[in-house]
Amino acid sequence: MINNNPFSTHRAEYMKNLWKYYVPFKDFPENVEKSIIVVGGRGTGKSMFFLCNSWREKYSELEISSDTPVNDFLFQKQIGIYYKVDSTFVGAMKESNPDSHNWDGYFNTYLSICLLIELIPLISLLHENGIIDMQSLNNIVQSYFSSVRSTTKKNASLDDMKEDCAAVLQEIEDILNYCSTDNISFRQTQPGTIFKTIVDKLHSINALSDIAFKVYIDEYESFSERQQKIVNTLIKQSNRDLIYNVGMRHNGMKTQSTLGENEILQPTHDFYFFNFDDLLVGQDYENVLKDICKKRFQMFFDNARIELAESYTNIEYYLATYSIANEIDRFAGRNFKFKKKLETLIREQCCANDDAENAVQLLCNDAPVLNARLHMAILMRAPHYRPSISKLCLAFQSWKCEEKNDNADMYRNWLHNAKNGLIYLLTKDCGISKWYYGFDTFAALSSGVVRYFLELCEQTFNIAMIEGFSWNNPQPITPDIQTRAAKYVSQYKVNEISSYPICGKRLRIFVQCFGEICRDLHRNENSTLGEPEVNHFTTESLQLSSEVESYLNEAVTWLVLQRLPQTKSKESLRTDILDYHLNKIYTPYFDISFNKKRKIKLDQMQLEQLFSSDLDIANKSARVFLDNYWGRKIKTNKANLKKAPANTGEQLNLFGEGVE
Amino acid sequence: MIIREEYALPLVEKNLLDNVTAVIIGTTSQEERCGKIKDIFQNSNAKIISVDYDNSVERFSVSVLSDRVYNNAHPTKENFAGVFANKISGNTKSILIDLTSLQHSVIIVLLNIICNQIRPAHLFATYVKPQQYINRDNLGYYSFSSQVSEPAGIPGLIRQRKEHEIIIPFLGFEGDRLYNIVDSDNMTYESIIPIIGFPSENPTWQFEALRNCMKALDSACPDTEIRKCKSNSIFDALAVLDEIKELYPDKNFVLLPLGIRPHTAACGLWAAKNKNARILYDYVTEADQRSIGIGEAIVYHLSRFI
Repeated sequence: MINNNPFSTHRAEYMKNLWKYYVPFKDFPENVEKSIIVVGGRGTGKSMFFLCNSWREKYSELEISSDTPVNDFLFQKQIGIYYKVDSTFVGAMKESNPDSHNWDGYFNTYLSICLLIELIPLISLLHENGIIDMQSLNNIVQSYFSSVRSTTKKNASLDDMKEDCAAVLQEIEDILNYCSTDNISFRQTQPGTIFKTIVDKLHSINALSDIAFKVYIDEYESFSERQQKIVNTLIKQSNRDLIYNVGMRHNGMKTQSTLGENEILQPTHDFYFFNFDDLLVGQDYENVLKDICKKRFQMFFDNARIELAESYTNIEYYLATYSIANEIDRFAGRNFKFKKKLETLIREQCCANDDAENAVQLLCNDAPVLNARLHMAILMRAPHYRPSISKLCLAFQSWKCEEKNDNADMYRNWLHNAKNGLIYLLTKDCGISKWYYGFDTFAALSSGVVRYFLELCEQTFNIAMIEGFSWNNPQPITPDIQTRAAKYVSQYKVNEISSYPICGKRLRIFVQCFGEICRDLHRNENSTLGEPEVNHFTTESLQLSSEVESYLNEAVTWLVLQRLPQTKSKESLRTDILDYHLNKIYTPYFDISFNKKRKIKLDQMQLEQLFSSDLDIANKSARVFLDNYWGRKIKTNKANLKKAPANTGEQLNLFGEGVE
Repeated sequence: MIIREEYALPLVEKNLLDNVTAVIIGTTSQEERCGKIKDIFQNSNAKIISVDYDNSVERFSVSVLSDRVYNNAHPTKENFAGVFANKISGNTKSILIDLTSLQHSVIIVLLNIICNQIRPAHLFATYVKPQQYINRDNLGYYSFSSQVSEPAGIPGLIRQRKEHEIIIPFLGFEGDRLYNIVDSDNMTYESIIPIIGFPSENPTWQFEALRNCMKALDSACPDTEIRKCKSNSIFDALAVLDEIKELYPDKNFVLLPLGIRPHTAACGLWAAKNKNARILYDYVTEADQRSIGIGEAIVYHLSRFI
């Protein structure tokens, strides 16, 4: 089953011929002559971007597509060297007393050697293809030995150099384990000098003189603060010939300082800064997802020797597009509990000269279920915001007859604002699950994380195949199967939170309780849909304790929350007020909306309790919030009722009784 | 062929009391069973040394409990070996380490130092089984740890990441911990060969451990082959590791000691002898109490590894 799924692999590290899967983002400046600092959560595509710009992938692509791969490779004028930080090894390259060893020196040599190990196969390849002659190769090898071992080594070959690189790493390993520096025979160098020496030697070869060497360091956040300063120095010193680029998770940069006194890295001046969150929104993101899927289908069909028309490589064929009308169709023929309450509300709110029977018939019994539920939500609103029964009847009729007047417009406006929110109330009322299906929905749920989208597709096809989907006659996949897949992925993403290091359990409890708050706000039958689809919160950052702030940062680092700019112009002027969105991949688990609609405000105390890592405290805080929220609504209604003598006394009393 | 020198404690207790010169225990756990070995050796001539590790400050804590003057040292990982050798000096003839009370990372560090630097004439380890594990929810999920950290190496056994690595996790009850390591962006591997303790003391434990780890295994390596070794047996775990090595002679190995302590001891002993193996550990903060009751106590004779 797994092998029949084009989406079964979704980590760049495990893909062979990675370039075949690679879809560049529009406007991503791959050819800039400046360092790039890329920030993005897990699965956004940082490693993919770095790996696909490494010489191995570039050359591998040309080996298939070109008759003269070496020449075409050099024609690109840049050579990428990929290095993924070995976090356990570099993490051990420090100690409590930094002065007892020359840790900077070891690290500098280590980093250069790691980069050289990646470069040596390319040197060998260029030598075999006559680009690097024997004399130049000897120069490179001798330069290596003189800069690493302070000595030349007659007749040494590139293989000797490679072996010596391994020996240096072994010596560093021994220092880490035995803390003995007695037998150190390599030089502890300045940042990047060994690697630069070899790059300079390569530049002295005619065919390579104008090549830019680009180093891509992945998982920069794994470096210690001191190590980051060293790498920052390399970024600062980058020039057209040798450019250092780094990729990291959110909040991964511990310092912007370099080793230079009072010197820091400055965006624009020293590097281009790219946040995947900014890139992965809107149409461009959706187009990239479609292209990624297309490539996967094409490769899958080629490998499995399946002959299908090109339309079958379009992911939208299988997932279709979400339609609220389809979702509403599911409600046909079901019994809804709310109708009884709606009927009572209509009768209670009818004035003496209203025809109650007609109103009940029109607004409740004959109205489509979506409209009927809307009428109930509207009639539950505070009097100030609530139309009279006759007004509501008039507006509904105008809308029904598709008239073009104020009443119809008003009704259209109500329906437009509340339509999605109504679905959550109706699904709860009749005991069915909200549907999460369609390409557009999956793209939104993935929250800009390509890997999440691929996981959603993988599970969809897995379930579809269990249910009889076959590549012999591939059919669109039903919304029900897609929803099951979305809920499955969502559930394990929520459960996965507790496995995140340091704050995992704390974040898991936070997500559970905040999710429960949103779920209740979506599905509580008292909802008037004045503020539908709450799925994010706002807080004033200046009021937050450093502890709460650190938990929020940790949540952003792990993409549990996404910090997005405020959209309302008035709010956007206040930079201290920040919006935090629950990652949309969690929304199917809580049966809540992924649309960016409404938010609640959480203060320092509430956040402190929700982040307390004590489930009882967090639960209580969520309960208190909800009690206050619904209680406040009721109080507001009562207060408004008291201030509304214009309405009939009968109506006031009835509404009061209803609340009591 | 390895002779599996495992004994029930009552059978060899007198001999140990007469001959062991140093007993090493941990003091972080409040479990009943963790005090058993200390209680037995309290009135013997053996020097009782406690060793704990605090990951938040990256320091060990070493003290000789049998000394009349309380003298607690807090060495870093770099100078721990020296401090420990100093504390145990004069009593290195026959060492017993109590796996029950020591933290997982400390077990590995100690075995590496004892086998390769101190080299006593005799080395024993003890493990006291629990009667029941607690902190289990209704669905069979356990929470034995309040916090996990980023996976890191073990002092003394830090090794570079290599190509063609096979991950060998010893499965425990907390599947989340396995997921945290195998799903980490920093983790690249060729395949996973999990090992589960089977048969376990309680028939439900092996199934719960397997079920709780299934999600991590399913997402990381769905067609993986799961191997079994007798739970509580250091020697059986070592035999399975040797079998895997024989099957994959050209590969490198990453051991994840997420199971019970005897299997962690096996990881430490095996990695110390195999340069193509490294250990990754997530330095969990364990709950004070994870089990109740005192079950059978086992003694392992480990002198062959010195």
